[in-house]
Amino acid sequence: MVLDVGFGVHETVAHFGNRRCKLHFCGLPDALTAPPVIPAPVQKTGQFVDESVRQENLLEAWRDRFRHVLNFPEGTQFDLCLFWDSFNYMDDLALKAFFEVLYPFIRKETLGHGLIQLKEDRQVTNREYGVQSQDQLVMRPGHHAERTSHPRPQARVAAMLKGFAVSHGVLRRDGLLEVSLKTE
Amino acid sequence: MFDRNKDKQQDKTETSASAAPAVESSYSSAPKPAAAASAGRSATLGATIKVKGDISGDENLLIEGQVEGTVNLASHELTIGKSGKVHADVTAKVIRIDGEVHGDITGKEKVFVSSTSNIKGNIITPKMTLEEGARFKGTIDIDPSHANGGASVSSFKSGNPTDKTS
Repeated sequence: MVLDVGFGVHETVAHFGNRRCKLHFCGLPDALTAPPVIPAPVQKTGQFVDESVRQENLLEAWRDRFRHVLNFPEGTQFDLCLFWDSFNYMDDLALKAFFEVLYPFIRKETLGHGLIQLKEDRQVTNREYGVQSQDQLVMRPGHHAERTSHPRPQARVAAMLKGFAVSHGVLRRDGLLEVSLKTE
Repeated sequence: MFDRNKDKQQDKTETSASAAPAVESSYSSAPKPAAAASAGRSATLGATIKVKGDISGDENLLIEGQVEGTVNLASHELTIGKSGKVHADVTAKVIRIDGEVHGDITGKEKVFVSSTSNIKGNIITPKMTLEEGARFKGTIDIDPSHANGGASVSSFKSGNPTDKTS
C-alpha cells in the first residue's frame, strides 16, 4: 500500500502498475493553497492575550483539514509514503498536524521519502514528482498555484515527523536534502 | 532513490497518442458510423441524450451524453467521451475515460484515464494507464494477477473520493 501525497502522474502509475498494490494519491498541494486562518482576538488596552490558545486553535484547524485529506478506510497501513517536497510548503504547525493525522496509518516497517529545502531558493519549489523506476525519480514544473515555502534545517523538520526518523540523507546538487525515513 | 546524479529534469516529448491503450484502436471520441453500430459492434449515446437508470448490454458503448445510475458492460468496452458526464458506478472489460465520471470504476481488464478526464471515485483494475499530462487524486487498486477477476468496488469503498484534475 503506497501513499503519494501529491497527484498521480503517469510514471508513478506505470511503475507500480505491474504489481499488486493500492495507490493513494491525496493531492496535498490543493489543501495547502489557502491555509486556515484563526483571527487574532480583539485586544483591549491592558488586557493579556494568550497567543497559545490561538496557536492551538490553528493547529486543530490544520488537523481538521488533514483529516479530510487523509480520509482512508479504517485499518489502512501504508508500506511506503512518498512525501516528495511537501514538508517545505507547511509551516511548523501544519507539518506537526499532518504527521499527527497520518500517524494511525503507518506501521512499524513503513518507509518514507522526502525532500527538505534547507534554504530559500525559488528554483526548487513548485515541482511535480513521480517514480520512474526503482532508482530514478522524475521531476518537472508543477501545475500547482504558487505556494509559500518554509526552508528549515533537517533536525527541525525531523522533530515534527511523528512516527518517522531520518535513516539516510543525501544533499543533492540543487540544494534539496533527500531523506529516507523509517518508522521509529 | 539516493543517487546524486539522478535528479534530471524530464522533457515531455511523448505524444498522447503513443500512450494510448489498445482500446484506442477500436474507439475514438468521434461518433461511430451508423453501420458499425447496427452491426452490433458498438453503440453511441449521443451528446444530447440523458439517461437516468441502469445501463447494461453485450456490446461496446461510447457515452457522449449524461448518465445517472449504473453502467455494466462486464465483457465489453466502455468509453466516456469528452462530452460524457457519468454519475454512476461503471463496470466494463476495458474502460477509457475522456470525460467526467463521478462514481466507482471497475475495469475487468484495463482502465485508461486521459488528460481531459475528471474523475471522482475509486478505480479497481488489473491494469491502469494514466495518460501523460493527467493528474490524478484518489485511490487505485491494481491487481495484475486478477484480470477478469471478481474484485468488486463494494470491497473497496472508502471515504476518500477520487478527484482527478488535469
